[in-house]
Amino acid sequence: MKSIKTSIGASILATITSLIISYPLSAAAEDQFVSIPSYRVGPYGQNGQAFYGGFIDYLNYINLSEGGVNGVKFAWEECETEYNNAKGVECYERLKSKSGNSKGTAIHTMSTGISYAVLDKSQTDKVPLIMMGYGRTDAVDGSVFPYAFPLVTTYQMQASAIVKFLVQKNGGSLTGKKIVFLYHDSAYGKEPIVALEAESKINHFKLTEIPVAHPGNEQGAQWLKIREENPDYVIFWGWGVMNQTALKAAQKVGFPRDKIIGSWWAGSEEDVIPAGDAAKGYMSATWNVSGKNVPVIADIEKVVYGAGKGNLSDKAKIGTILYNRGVSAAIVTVEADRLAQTKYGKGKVITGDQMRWAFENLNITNARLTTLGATGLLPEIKTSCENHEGSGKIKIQQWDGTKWVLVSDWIEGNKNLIHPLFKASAREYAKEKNITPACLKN
Amino acid sequence: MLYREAGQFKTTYKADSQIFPILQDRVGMMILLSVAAIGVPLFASEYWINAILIPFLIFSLAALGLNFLTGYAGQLSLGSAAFMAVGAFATYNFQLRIEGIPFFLSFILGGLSAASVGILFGLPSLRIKGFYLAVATLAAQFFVVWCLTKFPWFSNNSSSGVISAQTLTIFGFAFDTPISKYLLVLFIVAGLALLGKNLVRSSTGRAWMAVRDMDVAAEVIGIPLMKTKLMAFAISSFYCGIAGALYAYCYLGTVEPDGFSLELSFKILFMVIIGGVGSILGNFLGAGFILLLPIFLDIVLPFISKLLHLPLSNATISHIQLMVFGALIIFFLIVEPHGLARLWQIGKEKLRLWPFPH
Amino acid sequence: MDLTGIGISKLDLFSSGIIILLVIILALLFQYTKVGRALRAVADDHQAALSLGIPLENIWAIVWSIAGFVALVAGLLWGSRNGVQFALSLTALKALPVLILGGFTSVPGAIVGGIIIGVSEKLAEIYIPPVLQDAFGGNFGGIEGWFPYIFALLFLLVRPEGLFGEKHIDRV
Repeated sequence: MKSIKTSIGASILATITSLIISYPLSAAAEDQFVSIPSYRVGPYGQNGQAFYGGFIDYLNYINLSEGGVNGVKFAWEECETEYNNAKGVECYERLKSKSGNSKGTAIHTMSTGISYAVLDKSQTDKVPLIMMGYGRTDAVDGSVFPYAFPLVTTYQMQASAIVKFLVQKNGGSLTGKKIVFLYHDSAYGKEPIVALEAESKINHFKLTEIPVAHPGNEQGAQWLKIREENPDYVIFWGWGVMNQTALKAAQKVGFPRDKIIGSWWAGSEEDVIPAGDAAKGYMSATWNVSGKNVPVIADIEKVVYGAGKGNLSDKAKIGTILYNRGVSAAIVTVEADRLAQTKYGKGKVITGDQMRWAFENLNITNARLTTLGATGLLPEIKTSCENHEGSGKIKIQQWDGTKWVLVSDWIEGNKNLIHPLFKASAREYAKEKNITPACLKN
Repeated sequence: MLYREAGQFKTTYKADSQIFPILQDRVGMMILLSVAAIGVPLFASEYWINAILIPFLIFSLAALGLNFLTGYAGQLSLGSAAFMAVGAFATYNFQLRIEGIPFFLSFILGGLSAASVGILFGLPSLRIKGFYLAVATLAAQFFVVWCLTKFPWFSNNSSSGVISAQTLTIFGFAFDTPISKYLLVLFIVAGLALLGKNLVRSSTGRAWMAVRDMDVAAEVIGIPLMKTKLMAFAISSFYCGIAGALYAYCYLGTVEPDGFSLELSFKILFMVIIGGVGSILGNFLGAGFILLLPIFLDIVLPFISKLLHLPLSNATISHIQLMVFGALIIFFLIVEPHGLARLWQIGKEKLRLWPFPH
Repeated sequence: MDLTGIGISKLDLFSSGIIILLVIILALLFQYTKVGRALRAVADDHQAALSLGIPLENIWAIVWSIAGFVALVAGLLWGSRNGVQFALSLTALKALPVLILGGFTSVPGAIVGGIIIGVSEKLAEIYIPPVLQDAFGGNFGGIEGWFPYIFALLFLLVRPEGLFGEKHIDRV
C-alpha cells in the first residue's frame, strides 16, 4: 500500500519536474513576443485587469484584423507581479528568458516601484521600458536613460497642467488662492511636489502638502485638516483604495467634490463607482476618453469579442478609462513596431534594441490617430533623444454620476519650467553612476 | 543509509567539536558548496541566478537573523524588514557620504547601524515578553519605515524617496554581472551562516536557549539577562541589516522604504516558522519553500488547467496560486509544527534504519 | 449634524450605537451566562477547566465564532463608512495595541483601550506634524501609521499588564 502511494507520488513529481524543465520554450520564431508583467490580484487587481485586458485585446485585434504587423503576429505571456517590486523583477527575468531576441519588445509594468527596480536591468538587457504616465520621470532625458521612456506625460508635467487648468478657470490668475496637495505617501505621491512648489512660486498661490499613509483607507484626520484650511482646490494624488476613501471622506466633511482634481491614476470608474454619489462633480486628469464612441474600441468589441478571444471576462469593462488606457498603451507599442519595421525590414521580428530606436523616433500625428480610429485615446506624440516624453498634454474630465465627461481641451504643462528640472536630476544620476550622457545613434 | 555513521572516533577535543564530525558529511558539504560556487555559474541560466538563487540566499540570511532572535533566544520579533531597511539605507549613505570608503566596510557599518537600531527597539524586551514584544517590534517596523520616508536626508533628497544603489566595486573589481553578484552573495551568506552555526553552539547560543526556555530560571543560575537579550537583538539585526544591504545592492538595485513593509516582515517570519525555529538548516529550507513555491505554482497551474481544459482566466490562476500557497502553509504547520528542518531530521533517522521500520 | 463646529455624521452615531449595544451584550454574556463562565474558566487554566468537565473543543468553536462575529460587525461598520477594500487587514492589526492597553483578560479594558488608542491616534495625526515641521522643515504627516504601536509600547514599559489586566506571575 505504502509503496503504491510512494510510487504514485514519485511519478507525479517526476512528471511535473520534467514539465517544468522543458517549460522555457521560446515563442515561435516568427512571432513578436511581448512580455506582459501584469497584476490581476491584490488591492489594485481591478485596475490591472482593466488595463491589461485592453492591452491584450488590442494585440489580438491587430492579429485578427490585419494578421499582425506586416505579417508578423504578436505573441505574449502574462506573469503575475501582484504589484510587488521583488515579484516584478522575477517576472521580468522569467519572461525575458522566454522571449528570444525581442527580449520582451516593450515592458509596461503599470507600477512606479517595479519600473524603478527594472530600470537598470532593462538598460543592460537592451529592451525599452515604457512608463506611460508613471515611473522614473527624469528618464525624459534620453542621453542618460536611453532605454526608459516616460511617454505621453509625466507626473510633474501633469501637475503643472492641472495648475494651468486652474489658472484658466480662475480668469488667468491664482494669486492669493490656497491649494492643498493631498498625496499618497510613496514615490508616486512625492514626485510632483517639486513641480508644484515651483508652480506655486510663479503663480503666487499657497501650497499645503498633506500626506496619507499607505494604503490610505483612513483619511479622517487629513480631511478634517483640509476643512480647517478651507482651500480653494485640492489636487489629489491617490491610488487604489485611497481614491474612494478620499471622496467619501470629503463628502463627510462637506468639502465640495468639484473642487477636487485628481491625477490620472485617481480618475477611473473603479475609483468613483464605489464612492457612489460622493463622487459626483469630481474631476481628474486623463489623456484618453472613456466610452465606446471611439471607433477602434467599438471595432475591438466586434472583432475580438466576436471571435470569442476577448480578454475581459466582464464585458461591461470595455470602454472604461483604464481599459481604453490599456488600448492606448498597446497602440503606441504597435506603432513603434511598425516604425521599427520600416527601418529594419518589413515582416521581420524586431529586437529590443531596434524597438528602442523606434520609441525614440515616434511621431504619431492626429491624422495617424484618425486613420487608426483612435482619436481621443492619445495626444500627438513626438519623441526624440532629449524628450522621451513626447507630449506633456492632458485633458480634464469630470464625473457626472454615470460617466466621465471631458471639460477641457488638451492642456500642456509648463515645459520650460519642468523639463530643466528633469535634466538636472538626470545629470545627477549620471554623475552618481559614472555615465557619460550621450544619445545612442542606432 | 548511504554510509555508516558510527565508527569514526576522535582523539582530540578539536576534532570532537567539529560542526560535521562525520567525514562523509564534510565531503557532502564540500560537494554542495562547490556545486553552488562552480557548478551554478557554469550551468544555470541567467533567470535562475538573477531571480531565484540570489533572493533565495538573501532571504535565507534574513531568516537566519530572525531565527537567532525568535528561534534561539525566544524573543518574538515582527520588525525584521525594518532592520533590513536600516541596513540598506545606512550602507547607501555611508557609501555616498564618505569618499573612497571600501564597500565591505560600508556593508559592515550598515550592519552595525541596524544592530544599534535593533538594540534600541530591543530594550522593551527586558520588561515584556512573548506576544507583547511582538507588538513592540511591530512599532519598530512602522516607525523605522516612516522615519526613512519622512527625513529626505536618508534618500539623498531625491524627489521620490527611492535610492538607486551605486555600482559595487571591491578592490577595483566591479560586481555588475549576475554571476559576480551571485558569487559575492554566496560568499557573504556562507561565511555568515558558518559564523552563525558556531555562535549557536557557543556559550552565547546556550545562554539564548536558556533565556528562551525560562528566563527567570536563567537569571537565577547567573546568566546576565540584559546582555543576553540585547546581544540577541543586536546580532539578529546585524544579520538582517546585511541582508537588507545585499537586497538593495545585489538584487533589486533600487529601494524605497515602502518596499520593506510589514508584508516582508511576515514573509521572513513565515520562513523561520516553516523552516523550523532553532535550526540553521531550517532557514534555507524555509526560504526555499516560501520563495520557490509561488513560482512553481505559477508555472504548474496553467499547465494543469490546460491539461484538464478548465477555462481559467489569468486572474483566477493567480488567486488559486495564493490559495494553494496558504493552504500548504497551514498543512505543513499541522503536519509538522517544528518545520521542515524537523522533517529533514526525521527523514535522516528513517534512512538510518531503512529498510527496517524501527 | 453639526455640533459646535465639529461635524458628526449620522452614520457615525449609528455605528457607535451598535457597538455599545454589542459590547453590553458581550459583557452580559461573559458575566452572567453559563457559556460565559466556561469561557473565562478556559482562559484561566485549560487543565483545570478540563477537569471540571468543560468540553474544550466546543469552547474553541464558540470562541472563534464570537471573535469572527464581532470582527464581522466591525468590518461591516467600517465598510459602510469607508468602503470595503483589500487593505482592511492592515487596519485589523491596530487591534493589538488596543489589547495591550486594555489588558488581555477584560472586555471593559478593550473598550477603554480602543477609545484611547483611536482618539490619541487621530489627535496625534493632527497636532504633532506641525510641531515637527517647525523643528525640522519638510513634511511630517502619516504619523497615525505607527503612533498607536509606540504609544502601546511606552505604556507597556510602565504597566505591562495593561489598564485592566491581571498581573502575570512567572513561576520557575
